[in-house]
Amino acid sequence: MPFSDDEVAELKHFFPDVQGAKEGGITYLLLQNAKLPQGCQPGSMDLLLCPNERDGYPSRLYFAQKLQQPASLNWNGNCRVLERNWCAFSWKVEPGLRLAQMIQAHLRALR
Amino acid sequence: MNVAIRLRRAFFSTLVDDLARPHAFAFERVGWVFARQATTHRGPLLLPDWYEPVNDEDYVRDDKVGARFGTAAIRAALQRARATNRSCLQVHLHDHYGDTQFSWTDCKTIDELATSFRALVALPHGGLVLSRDSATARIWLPDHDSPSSARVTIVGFPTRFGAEHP
Amino acid sequence: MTDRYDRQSFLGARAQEAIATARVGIVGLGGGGSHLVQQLAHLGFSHYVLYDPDQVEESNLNRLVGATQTDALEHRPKLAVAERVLRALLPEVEIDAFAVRWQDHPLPLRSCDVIVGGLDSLLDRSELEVCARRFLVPYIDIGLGVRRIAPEPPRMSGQIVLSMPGYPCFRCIGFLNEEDLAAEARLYGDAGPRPQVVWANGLLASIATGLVVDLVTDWTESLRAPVYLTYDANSGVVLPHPRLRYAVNRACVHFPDDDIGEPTFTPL
Repeated sequence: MPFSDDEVAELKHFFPDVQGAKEGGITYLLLQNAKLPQGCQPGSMDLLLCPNERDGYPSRLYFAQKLQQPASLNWNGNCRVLERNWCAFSWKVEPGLRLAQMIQAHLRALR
Repeated sequence: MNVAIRLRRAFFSTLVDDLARPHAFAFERVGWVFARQATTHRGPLLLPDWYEPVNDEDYVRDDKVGARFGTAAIRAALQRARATNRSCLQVHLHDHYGDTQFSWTDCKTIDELATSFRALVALPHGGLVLSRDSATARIWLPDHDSPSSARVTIVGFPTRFGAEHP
Repeated sequence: MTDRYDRQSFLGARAQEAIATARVGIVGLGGGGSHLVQQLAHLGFSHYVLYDPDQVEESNLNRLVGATQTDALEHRPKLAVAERVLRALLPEVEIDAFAVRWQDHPLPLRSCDVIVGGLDSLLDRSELEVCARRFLVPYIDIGLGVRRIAPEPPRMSGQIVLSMPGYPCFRCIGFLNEEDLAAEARLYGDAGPRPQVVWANGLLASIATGLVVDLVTDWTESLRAPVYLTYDANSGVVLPHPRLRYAVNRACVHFPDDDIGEPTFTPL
């Protein structure tokens, strides 16, 4: 995996069961049954982080299904990765973040 | 049950090259192909991605068969299948071009091995026999009382599609 | 062997058996896919996996082979048109037909011997290539586009690309790249109707059909490297893409040999 040990350790502090898999030259990170911020419906689901540039975004966080709440999200990122269908909403996170920061920055859109 | 096996041409060439090497006393060489499993809507799909030859020292002299090997080779294959969650196919080469098929002895050997393997590693196991340009397979699926034949496709340039089996 | 295929017996003594046995996946039954269905049926291909979620519209009738005015009036599924064309020539044909995006029902594609895609978007092509590579299925893509740069006349062009597992992929040969995918993503849902004409679709589909036959029968004994052909529809010329010669001898870096089958997740 192309991540530093301390970056991984930091991520596992928040997501102890995080797993990785490669496809098309990119390593994706799977967060199974991740708890979403308060007010989200559903309250948890599988998430998939693409930490590389994709679809014109510096990084992308994919969701196993569209959220019913918040309702105002612009879901523009349907895709198929690692033999599953995922969706993502439009939310640009600055490049150069560590993995844990990256995920938190993406989830900030749901607060 | 329709079983499909697909292997890349480069992998197939590796098998042929290794199995064609002469052995000090065995008439044929044998090895183990390890395959990932996938599902299609028509049945199982096996995707071989690892090969291990039987070590020279594991062969047992027996002029009545093409090759015979000891239990150490079988144990090693079983351990690898279990550790990597792969199907295990015993493989050997019939050194000619064109379609090939299993001999009666081949079938007996494969059936004994595969049924033993699947009792310990509940996955499809079996045998693969190659010619210089084609392959066929005999697969024991978990919970099946008889072996299934498999359509083996060698994918690459050229691609060689296996014959459809009844 | 019946008399029907006597004129193609030059393909080889076992060619017709190979053709009759092969399972072809066709994703997209529009302008290109409808031609493919017709040609493959004439050749005797007898096993199909078909995907298209759309219905026939009036605007399809300039190019959708096999479609009728009644189909447009009744908004008949494109799948139904394809099945009708196939069964008219091959009453015993085996068809697995799915009126959905392939991503919503992907397992049948894994059983195909070759996949041909007549898709509109680069993302769809990218995802289909991933699936084809995972399950070791050769994938042929065809596509057509028209560019308008005033005051010049429109320029129509297309491509036929073969992605063979173990060999350079669409990204290796420059057919797909992140920049183009990102540009397409920015237009999400707003790409507009794509210009399409029957003769250009027909040419692309015919070349793809020839590739399918060569893959299945190896009749030319010369299909030994990836294929990336460009079609200049203004001049009628089809040529190998110049980028191919830089990629053809390199190993694919995007789909390593161990990345096949179901994905394997490992704990970090």
